[in-house]
Amino acid sequence: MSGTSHWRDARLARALQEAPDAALQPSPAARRAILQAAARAVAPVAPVPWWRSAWPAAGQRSLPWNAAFATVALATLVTVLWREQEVPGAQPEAASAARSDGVSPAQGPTPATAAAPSAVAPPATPPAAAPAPAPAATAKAKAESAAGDAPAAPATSQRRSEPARLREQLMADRAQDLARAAADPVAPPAGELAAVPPPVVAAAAPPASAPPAAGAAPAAGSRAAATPQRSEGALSKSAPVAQGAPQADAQRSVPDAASTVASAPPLAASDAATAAAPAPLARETLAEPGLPAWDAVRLEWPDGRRVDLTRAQAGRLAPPVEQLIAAASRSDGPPSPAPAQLRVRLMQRGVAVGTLEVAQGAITWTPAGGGTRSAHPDAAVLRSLFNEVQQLAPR
Amino acid sequence: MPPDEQLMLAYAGGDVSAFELLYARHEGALYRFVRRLLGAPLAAQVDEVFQDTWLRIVAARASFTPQGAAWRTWAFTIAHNAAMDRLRTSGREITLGGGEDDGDDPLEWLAAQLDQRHPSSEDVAFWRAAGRQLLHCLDELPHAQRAAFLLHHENGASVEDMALRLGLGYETAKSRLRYALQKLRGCMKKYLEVMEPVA
Repeated sequence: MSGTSHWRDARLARALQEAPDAALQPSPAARRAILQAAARAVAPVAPVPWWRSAWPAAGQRSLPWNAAFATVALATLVTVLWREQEVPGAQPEAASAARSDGVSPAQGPTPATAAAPSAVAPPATPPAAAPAPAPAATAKAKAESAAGDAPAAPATSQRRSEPARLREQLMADRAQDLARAAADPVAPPAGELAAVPPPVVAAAAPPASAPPAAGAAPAAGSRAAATPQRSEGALSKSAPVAQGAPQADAQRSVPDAASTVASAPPLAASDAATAAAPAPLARETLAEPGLPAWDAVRLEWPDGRRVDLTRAQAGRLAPPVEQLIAAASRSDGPPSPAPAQLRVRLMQRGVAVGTLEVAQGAITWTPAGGGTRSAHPDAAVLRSLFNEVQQLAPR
Repeated sequence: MPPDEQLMLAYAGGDVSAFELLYARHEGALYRFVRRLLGAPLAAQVDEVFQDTWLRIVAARASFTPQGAAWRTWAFTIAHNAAMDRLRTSGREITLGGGEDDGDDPLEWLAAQLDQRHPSSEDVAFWRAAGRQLLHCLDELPHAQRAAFLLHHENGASVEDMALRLGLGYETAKSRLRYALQKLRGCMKKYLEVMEPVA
């Protein structure tokens, strides 16, 4: 007997056929999933890219090749951007302090404005007005050479780092100071000083005796005419402002100065311009010729005490100091033989730019490049200086 | 109508329509087989096991050889393995030590008689009730015996084929089938006794 036939029960087979679940069907979702899976299994596979077949590791998403390439690309970009440029270091505290002192970045010591004030800088900013042209031809030639580089400076200075520009500015300031000290043995008359090209200064400090309207314009005009080495562009930017500035505008810009000059007692001619400045000195005093740019000051006493201050910390010490320096720069007196009661050393970026010594009512100003000047300034200014120094002196 | 083996070979060659035809042809039988093999307690998982069965068939398309066995036997073996895997993971598999016992004689004559009769409504109701009772009796069987009975009665596999496909010895396969028949006949005694006087 065959096993197949022997073990098959027809009654049970019939019962299976008639069972209630005989008509059961899978759910449509299961049917659809099965058919889709079957179709996907034999679907043509997308061709493998040639680069993946050549380098199978590139197709593995677990490998961070993209991140590696992005890092290399970014490093290359940064390297190219900083090529031939100095890496910027930490900015000294003095720079930030000076900036917070009220000198805006536009007025700050950028090389273009400092080296070529008449050509680029706005006339009202102190750095632009500070380096007044020296009368001597050699000094003007040096200053002109510094100023002549200025128009080309923006193209290169944009790519230079901040420390490089600061160094250039310092060098330009020193060169101008040296040229001015060496080639200006006699201070110009007060009337001419008042009309020195920085136009705001010319309008702000006119001589008390000069007619208001005619004093500024002709003087400025003659000054402009007396500086033939100036470029036409520089003249067109500086002279018209000084010549064409109405006296009303000048008086409006510094009304206190005019009133102070009118009411001030008679002074020596060399101190006329200094006396024209008001007692609470304004920033316009920075426009005096011979004033170096400085951002820190060191006060030294004969007994060895000394204190270092930033310009911001110096507070109201700056106006009398600059006023005294300006007075000394316009004087040609011999150095005072008396021992110094106070020594004020001005610093710019950590480098001494000059020393002001006060001894028994006389002052001696020694710029960094030499050319010592002495003068007997106004007692009120000296008193103002000592008052401030006393507040800042170490106890 | 192309045979199942040819359709499977066509599908292995990329013909999706051949698979669709094959699926339509055996969908119901495989589904019922899985359903009865899992039993009522695992009825909720029938769809999942049924889908798993077909996915296994799809995955094994390249290994199918028509020289080995009929496609239907091959497919039912895959379904059996899928259902057993599910029963094993569900912890419901019970292994029984089987002793040799004599089985009952087959009643092949009944099939011929039933085929010749026109089924009345009473007969339809009777067989429907018998089928329901048989499903209940199948749930009472151990899985191995249940599988042996279903493979033999639903798929039509011989004991030799069943032993070969399940990797069993012939005597083991025969023993499982004999025990299954013995228990089912005992469970279905009420219906079988009614049938005998009629026959």
